[in-house]
Amino acid sequence: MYMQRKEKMSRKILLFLLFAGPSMTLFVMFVIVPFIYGLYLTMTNWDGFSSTKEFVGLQNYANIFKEKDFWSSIWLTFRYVIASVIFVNGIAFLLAYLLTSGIKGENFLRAGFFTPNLIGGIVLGFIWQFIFNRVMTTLPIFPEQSFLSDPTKAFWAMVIVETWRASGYMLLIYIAGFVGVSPDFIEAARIDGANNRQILWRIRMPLMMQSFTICLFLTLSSAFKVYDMNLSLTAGGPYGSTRMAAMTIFEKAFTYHDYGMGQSEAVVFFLIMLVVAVIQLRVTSKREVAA
Amino acid sequence: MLRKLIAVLLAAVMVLSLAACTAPATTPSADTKEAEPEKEEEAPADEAEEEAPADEAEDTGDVADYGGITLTFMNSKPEISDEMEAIVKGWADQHNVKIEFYETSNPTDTLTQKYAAGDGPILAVVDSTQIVEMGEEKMLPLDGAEWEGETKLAWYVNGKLYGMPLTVESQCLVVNKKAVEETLGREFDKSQYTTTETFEALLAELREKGMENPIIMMSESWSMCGHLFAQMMNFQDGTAQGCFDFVDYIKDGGDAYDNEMFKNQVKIYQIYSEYNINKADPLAAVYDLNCSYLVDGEAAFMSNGTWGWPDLAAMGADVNDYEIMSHPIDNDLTGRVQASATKFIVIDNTIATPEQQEAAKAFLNYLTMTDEGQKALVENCGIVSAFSNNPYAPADPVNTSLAVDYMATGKTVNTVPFGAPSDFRTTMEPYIQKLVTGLGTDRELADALNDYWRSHEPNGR
Repeated sequence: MYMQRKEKMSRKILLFLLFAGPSMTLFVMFVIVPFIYGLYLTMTNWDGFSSTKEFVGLQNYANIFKEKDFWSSIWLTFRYVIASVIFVNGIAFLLAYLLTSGIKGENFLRAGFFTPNLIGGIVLGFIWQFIFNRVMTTLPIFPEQSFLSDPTKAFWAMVIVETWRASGYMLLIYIAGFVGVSPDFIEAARIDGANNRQILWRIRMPLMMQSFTICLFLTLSSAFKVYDMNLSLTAGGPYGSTRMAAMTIFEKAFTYHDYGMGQSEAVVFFLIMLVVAVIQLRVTSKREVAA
Repeated sequence: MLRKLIAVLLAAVMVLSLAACTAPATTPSADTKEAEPEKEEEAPADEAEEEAPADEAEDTGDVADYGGITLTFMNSKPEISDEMEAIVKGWADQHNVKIEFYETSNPTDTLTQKYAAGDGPILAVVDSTQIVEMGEEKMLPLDGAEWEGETKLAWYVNGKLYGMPLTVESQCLVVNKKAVEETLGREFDKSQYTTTETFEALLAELREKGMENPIIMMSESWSMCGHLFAQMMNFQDGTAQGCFDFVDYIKDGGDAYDNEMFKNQVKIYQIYSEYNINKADPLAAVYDLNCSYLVDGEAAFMSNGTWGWPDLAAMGADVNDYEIMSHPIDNDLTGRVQASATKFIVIDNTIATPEQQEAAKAFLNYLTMTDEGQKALVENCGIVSAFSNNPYAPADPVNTSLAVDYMATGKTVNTVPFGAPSDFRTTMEPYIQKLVTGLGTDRELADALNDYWRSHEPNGR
């Protein structure tokens, strides 16, 4: 009996290793090991290229509290995340509502809205830089000064570009949510006398809460991590007013040759993101209802 | 049973593919993974012995064979990327070397990332900053190189030679002389306009005679906040010691605001802002558009440098219409331009094999000691050579103006080995941009400069 159980166990382990082994190994090699090594680097004064580094304990973490630039970039990133999440999801949801209501050319419009998502962040930034600097400044409805030359407008320029890029992707998830709600519920609600607004609020939205959970998580995390578009659209300017957290951390590690400190900031940033993402997932998951 | 068998086979394929991913353990660099195993196999054990005759062969015109090794080449001078790549690959083809060429506009960041990943380039075009910061640890000392005696502009750190000077460049005003003369209605003599007062009067006259905004101030950070602001230190007295003295003056509690050259620099920003063709939106200026303003004669002066000629030539600039002139300086250095070796080629000393280093050295010899290499550098890349044995003269008017009007007459300033750390520009950038757009003051700029130098050490001391 014991031998039989043991054999079964080793068979299970073998099967597990056969199927999950390769991906587990890759995951450990490329995610877990670098993460742990990254944590170790936060406790050193490594400059990023030297072959020697001194162990400094938690000194870097203690110094983060004195880093005004880092905290101001975190605050800026928070504002950017809030604005992006609201606009991306708001617009994606409205478009999804329209594109599932039976209007003509739905498929063409869905593909059209999704297309910006296929353009990489760097290219996207350069395209929009051209639009803001060269196109909009020549149109009479816009001011002569580029959006990118004014700190407040440059911030909103980033939000506009992110909304343009990400809403098409979220749109597809919301469409899946809308389509996934059984017509039986809608029909039943109509028979009970519910109007369109009530159907949307009371029937559709609760039943497609999973879409909100996914979309909010994706937009939150991508907005927090923004770097490529930040670099090519505003390069942190004007006056250093749009340096988001990722750019500040990158500069600290690579430009200022303070890798240990930059890595520590990255860990703190990661923890902040983690807390926000977990709260978001908990809040939205609680509202999910089963049909 | 068949399904089980298929499942086991699939899993085995995945495991084997994973093993395949990690196979080339001998690869010294990720970029060279295709070519290196070949090298390991093909390169004979007595490769080093074969190198000596190979080098001799170079001198006698025979072609050395490096057995198909790979050299990675990082170019941080994007405006000559195509030409440089052609030169490197042309040489490599002759010597059985594979080249992996890439460019960057930010050598500090790229090198830091590459070295952090254990993948530094074997050959790299870099600025002096990277040699100062990384040279001793990462780069191959080149003392005793064949070309060492032919230049005074090579870069040394603590007495050791690390950088082969690639080009001499000058940050200056590029002038469309024809546009100036047509607007003024008389011959233009730049020596009359070397101070802030006389240059401002010239700009005012040009405006009065129809050229509304005669100067182009570039918005790029490397230009507006890097090159242009750096002259505030370089023109203290035109020597490295003068720069160090200025830094020490700040460190000892002095105020940059009281410094004459600082005032001169602020005045330059004010004049350039007032007469800037991008005055309405100085931070949104676009490089290509700026070049077209100069070529079309809408503006006459461009705050840039001698490296900008290829961009002007691409827009149809006539070689007879252009020259360079100094920024307006009010002290004894008036009428001079900053000119120095601005780019260097270095060789890696961390992952490069002896064979790769030998090949890289041979390439440097090719550029500096052979007629073909010398000619290619000057004529194809359009640069001013830093070597006295290079007989070729620059073909374009901008570099010719540098060589004839300034270098030949000794009207240059060179503050090597002084250098600001790599975060200097990013730190000063917001304050300079605010000054230029009128949102900040010279007092704020001086305070930022004071704060910076009180917490940083200059390079090169």
